[in-house]
Amino acid sequence: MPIVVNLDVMLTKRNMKSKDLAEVIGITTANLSILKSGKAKAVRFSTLEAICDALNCQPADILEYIKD
Amino acid sequence: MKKIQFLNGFVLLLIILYVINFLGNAYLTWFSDFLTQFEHLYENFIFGYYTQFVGLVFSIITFIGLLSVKSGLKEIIKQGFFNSISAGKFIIGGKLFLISGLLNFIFNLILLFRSEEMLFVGEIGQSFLLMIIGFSLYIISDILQNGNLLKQENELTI
Repeated sequence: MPIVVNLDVMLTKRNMKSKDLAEVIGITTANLSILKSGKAKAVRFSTLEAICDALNCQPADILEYIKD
Repeated sequence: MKKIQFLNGFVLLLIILYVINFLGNAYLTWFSDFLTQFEHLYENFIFGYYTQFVGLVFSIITFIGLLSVKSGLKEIIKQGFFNSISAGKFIIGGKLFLISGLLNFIFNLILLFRSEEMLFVGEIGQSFLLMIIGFSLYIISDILQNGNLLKQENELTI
């Protein structure tokens, strides 16, 4: 899929653990892992909003389009 | 889910009735001389004495179809409505019911035209019913497969 999720990069920049982020945004660590690995089929705006709020970043910092 | 459990129980009852039917017929055919008094009746049928065994083959096909449907219902009770295993089992069950119904229909038509003394119009209706059930199972399996895809997409929407 040409959409790459750079959540790991943002987590490292903010020095935050996946478990903590999952707790803050209210999703399970299993679902966060699916999102990080790029296996997710879609992301809800509410989830994206919560991630951006928790990591103090923009959606573009998390999602990137790379042509195949 | 209670309705599915009820249907599962009903199919189980049908399977038990089929087994009793097979055992009873086997006993009467091979271990008893009860049917010998009716052997002259088969002279008018197209396959003679073996006409009764043709019906048995269709019964076996329907029985295997019932086993497949039972297995599919069991998976629905275990995993929920939308799962690929049940869809696969229903496709097999549907195919077997369709084949059994179609063969039964053709066989009864042949009997109808070739055996002048006996009419099987009622049994032709049963064959159509079996074919309709088989076709319905086909459609249900399609719904289950589509539902399974939607369920997977929903689960992977974070």
